[in-house]
Amino acid sequence: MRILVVGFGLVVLAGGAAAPAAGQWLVTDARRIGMGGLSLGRSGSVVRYNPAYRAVPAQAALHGQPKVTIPIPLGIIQFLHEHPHLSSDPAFDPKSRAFNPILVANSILNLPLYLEVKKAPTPTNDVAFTIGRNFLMVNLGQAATLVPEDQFGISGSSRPLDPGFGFKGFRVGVMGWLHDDVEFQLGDTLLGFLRDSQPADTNTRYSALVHGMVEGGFAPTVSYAGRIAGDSTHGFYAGGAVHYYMGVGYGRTDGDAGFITGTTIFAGPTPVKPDGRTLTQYSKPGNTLGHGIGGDVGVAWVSGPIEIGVGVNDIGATITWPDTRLDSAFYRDSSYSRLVVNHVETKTKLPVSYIANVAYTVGNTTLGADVLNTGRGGVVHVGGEQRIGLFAVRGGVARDQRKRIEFGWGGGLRFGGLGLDVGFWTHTNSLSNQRAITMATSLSIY
Amino acid sequence: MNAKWAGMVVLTALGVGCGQGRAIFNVDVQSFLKPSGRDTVPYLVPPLTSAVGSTVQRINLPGVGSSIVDTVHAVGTARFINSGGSGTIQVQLYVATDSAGTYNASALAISLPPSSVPGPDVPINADLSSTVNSVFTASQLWARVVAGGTNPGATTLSGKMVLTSLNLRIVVEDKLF
Repeated sequence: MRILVVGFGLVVLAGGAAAPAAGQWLVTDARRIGMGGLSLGRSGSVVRYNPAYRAVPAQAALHGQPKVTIPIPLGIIQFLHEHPHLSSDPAFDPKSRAFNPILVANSILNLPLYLEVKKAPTPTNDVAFTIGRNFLMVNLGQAATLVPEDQFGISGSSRPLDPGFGFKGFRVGVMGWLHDDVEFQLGDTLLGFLRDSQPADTNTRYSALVHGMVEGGFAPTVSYAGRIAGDSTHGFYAGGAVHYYMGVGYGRTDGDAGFITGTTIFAGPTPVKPDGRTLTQYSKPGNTLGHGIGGDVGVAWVSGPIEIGVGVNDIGATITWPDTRLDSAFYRDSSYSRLVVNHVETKTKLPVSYIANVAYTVGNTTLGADVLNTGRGGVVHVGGEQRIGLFAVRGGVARDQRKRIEFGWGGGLRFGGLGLDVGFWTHTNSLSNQRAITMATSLSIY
Repeated sequence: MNAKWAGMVVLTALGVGCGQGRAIFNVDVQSFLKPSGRDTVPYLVPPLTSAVGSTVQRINLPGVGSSIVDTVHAVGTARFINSGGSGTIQVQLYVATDSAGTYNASALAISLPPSSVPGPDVPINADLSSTVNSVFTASQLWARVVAGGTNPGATTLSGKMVLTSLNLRIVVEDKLF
């Protein structure tokens, strides 16, 4: 029960923190982090989201890019030092009174790969509750600003596997795909109660909208990428892929959950009643596979020191699930789940993702920018690198999905074919309005 | 079950405002007492004796689980509406997790010095005994308001004590997480 209740507040806390993790900072390359998350050439998100880049020659020397990057996860050492007995650590044991779901959520949403050199302080203001027989008011102090006014959530669209073979620009493969999406939105009454310190009213419903979905499968894919015009130094490249999505399974729930106050707030037999209703749809693995067709397109233009690309993914990717079960659940005084209909056809849609990038390299200087949108707001990166002999200096700025500005900086040292890179970046989570700074380190092989 | 759910609102709020800060509950005790008339404690003390009158009332709280109550401070006013005689009335407050428990000596939370009656309103401004702190972590508690009278005179002391206000400030160390 305690976990359930705490979880409700946790959702509010974690939602905002998750967005940058999903969309921006799941990067293990200290070089890229030092440039504010910027993707250059064949690194990072560019190849993933722009199929034309498969044909663009790697200009490793031009961009100072390594062939291989090996992350050095100092953060894991720090994490294990702080939690030496993880299996018996009460903070991670749901059965323990010291169980800390926020720590668990933060550890999952922000994997401890990096060294936290400056931690973001959590709010330390007092929270005041004014209670009477028929009165309840909450004043969260400064923490009230952390209560999200708008919809918030976590979403991701990934392609974990993509084996295949190609010939003369054509490629045939089978791509794994996974899409998840969790959204919450506080209702007006709950928002006013938490954020604006409005007194609780009698016979009033306080609730939040909840949406969650996860779907995955594989997709036989035929793709092409090639130079349409020009040569290796001045060329126009185009790429495209057609996927036949085959869905192994999906689950989706949409609901509205909260509580209803009684005729008096703190008196009577039922001062507060939980109240929730959801519609759940799912097609389990083993059911008839979902199916759908979608595609990716991309173009890239390389002209000497300038490189520009645009890529769009999962265009028209609507998955039809022929064997779906729908259940409704309602909770007020007691809960029940009722089958609405079984073996029916439902459809889901993968979010369209796009990336636009530009890079400019002159001498030992590389500058670049990219915009990436994976269906939940755009992330912008602008950064650059200056190589000076054995050394490299980097800097960058990013705007995350919550439109917050973050900064990255770092440097590198290269000895022949081996390099050591260090990158710092600021990040902000919903627990604090102050930025934290983390440090990433990686080895590069050139 | 419902008592636990009553804490959902507060726990949600605490979840949002968690950290090293404190949770402070300002409880208007008088609002619980007044509708049932238990804000009024009649007293009737025969000459040259002592007697005690009291009322017991349940008070619902959100409940703060395993959190630790740091301090509880009471602020209020007691008014004596004397109808006969003279003497002293001592205001006391007992709190416990059940009504019977409020009759235990260990449940004594506040004991004001005896006040002369007839007399002016008596302010209440005192920390509750720390021995009762744990009572305030529960989702409900029972409070017994006592008017203990002493009558040294030859006329029966009678009247009623009215709590015109009583607010508790409960400071909780946030151990919810």
